[in-house]
Amino acid sequence: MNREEIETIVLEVMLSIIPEMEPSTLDARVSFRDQVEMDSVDYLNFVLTLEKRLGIRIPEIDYPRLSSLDGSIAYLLKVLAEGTSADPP
Amino acid sequence: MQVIRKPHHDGAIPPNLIDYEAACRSFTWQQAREALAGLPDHGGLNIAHEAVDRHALGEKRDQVALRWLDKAGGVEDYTYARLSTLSNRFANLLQTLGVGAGQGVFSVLGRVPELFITALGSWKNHSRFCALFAAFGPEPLRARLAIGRACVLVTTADIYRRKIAQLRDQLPDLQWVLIIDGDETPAGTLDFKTLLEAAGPEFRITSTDAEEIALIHFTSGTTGKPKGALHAHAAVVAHIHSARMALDLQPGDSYWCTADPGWVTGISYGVIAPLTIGARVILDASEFEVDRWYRLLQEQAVNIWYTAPTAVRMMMKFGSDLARNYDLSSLRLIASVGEPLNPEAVLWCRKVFGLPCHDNWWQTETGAIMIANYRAMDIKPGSMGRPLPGIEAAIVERGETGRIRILSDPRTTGELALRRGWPSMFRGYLGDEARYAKCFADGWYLSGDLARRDEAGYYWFVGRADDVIKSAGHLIGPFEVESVLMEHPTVAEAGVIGLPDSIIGETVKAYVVLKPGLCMDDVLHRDLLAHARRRLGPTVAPREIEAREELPKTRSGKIMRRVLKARELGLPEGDLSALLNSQS
Repeated sequence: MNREEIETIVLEVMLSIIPEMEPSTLDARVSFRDQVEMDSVDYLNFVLTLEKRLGIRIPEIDYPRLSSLDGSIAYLLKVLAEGTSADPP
Repeated sequence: MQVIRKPHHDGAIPPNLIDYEAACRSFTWQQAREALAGLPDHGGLNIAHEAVDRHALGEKRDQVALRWLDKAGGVEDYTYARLSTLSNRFANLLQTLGVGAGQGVFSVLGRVPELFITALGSWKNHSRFCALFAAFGPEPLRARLAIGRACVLVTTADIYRRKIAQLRDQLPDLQWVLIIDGDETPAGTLDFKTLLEAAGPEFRITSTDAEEIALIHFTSGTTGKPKGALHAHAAVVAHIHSARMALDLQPGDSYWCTADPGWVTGISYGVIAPLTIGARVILDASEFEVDRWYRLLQEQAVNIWYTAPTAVRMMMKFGSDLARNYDLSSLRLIASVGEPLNPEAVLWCRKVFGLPCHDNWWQTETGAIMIANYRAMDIKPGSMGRPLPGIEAAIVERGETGRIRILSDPRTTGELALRRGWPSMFRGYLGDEARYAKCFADGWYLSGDLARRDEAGYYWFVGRADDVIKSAGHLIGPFEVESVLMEHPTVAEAGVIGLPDSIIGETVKAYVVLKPGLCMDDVLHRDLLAHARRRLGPTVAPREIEAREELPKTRSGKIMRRVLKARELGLPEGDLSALLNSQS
């Protein structure tokens, strides 16, 4: 899976949880929670939905790495390339 | 049933409360009041004087009162002397703006030091302080600012632009908006820092009647508008007493309360109680992140940690391995509030931290902890504990014509009631005397919570007596959510309930009947969710919306939320007790 495909999936998952989000105004480097109204339950749902959608398991300790769009893409690229979690617990 | 046995004294630092029964016999509110300083020259009782000024005048003046951990990883300390001066400046600032006694000073802020400065300065100036939840959407903010007739609002540039600017013409009482950050203040607002620096550092609190209203805390009911519960300066007597008893808080402790300032816990136990005791308050600007939380407990050598069941359950979900990387030996007591703490969570804390979590019970209306598990008292996991010394609790049944019947048989479920008259009891609902009066009968405050008491005097939460939803420790009024859904052009009717959730207690679910000819598809579903989240904010908005052909109603047309809930959970529709039991 390439970068664009992963970006599309991350944005789709975000939109399913934060439907009011405007992807065009999102700064990929800044954390989601500093840009959109998102509470910790939303964040948990975001990670769990990504796991389901991509068929991977994301260890809890890695959750903070998914806090921005760039962070999510970099992390998921690495995980999918390795076929395992980026940083096994 | 497993009981966690407690020695009376299990460490180097003796508990504030060693003998519960003896304390219940000997305690009087009068004594607790006399233990406070009071304003000089018999000038009455003012929260700001007890919380900071008296410490700033004494040997604690250079002690850290507040340690702020900002989002960028920075740390800033505020001594008692500095907090006293800054809040003096804020009180002078209010006077310069012509804001006086009884007027509403509101904040919509996260966990930032300006919250403390605003609250303390408002009390010095005899203004009423109210903190609103920063994650509220524009509609809950509008309703609360209007009901509270906010005159001053302290917030951030971002929150102002996104949520408040659009409301300004609907809030005629709101004269001043002060912005704490940003390079440019938006049109129609003033810069908090500039004004604060220009205001004088000296301020003398004038005589304060302990019954003067100091605080407004909003809470939600089943129907109608949010309720603004009023609390007097006298509440500080209950704050310090309960924090000493139930949190074992002692002078100089490193103390971390994770509650958001927008909820009563964040003010009663995030600001007032710890400062009054002379502890060091750890204020963490960031959101929950499990690894960082463990690190914070270690780095700040937290002694007393007051958190919420949702947070504990999130940590449980992440497993206990993480905790092993940290030295958590400074912890002396862990407590939680907001919703009942399940027994597994109590025991999990004992496994991971070496200390059980101490659940306690109270409400916006009670202003302070009323029923608690104590450091030196055995814990029955799942129980909220026993009444605070000075508090008389009972299980009652409401009868005809405003009388109540006390159910003294152990293990009988009824409404949890408290004998009225403790210092932090709310003094009214803003502009709604009838609703206030309905909370009392025969000299008892009726909590709206169903509970039972066992033979040993421990109380057990059973459920809410009404349809109010408890999600992540927040009370959510279904009516407020339904009203916003009904604003959407496609919605004809809406019914909102809470469904059991293993992490956050209850999750908000909405049922809607669409207008004729419309049907629910993905696009509309998202649009409805987005609308609700935009208007209400993520915590209050439903996480699930389902369309129905019709909603169950009474003959008078009222939506029967309980039937919706029973159907969703597959329970008999008429059997309320089964429903409540399933939640306990």
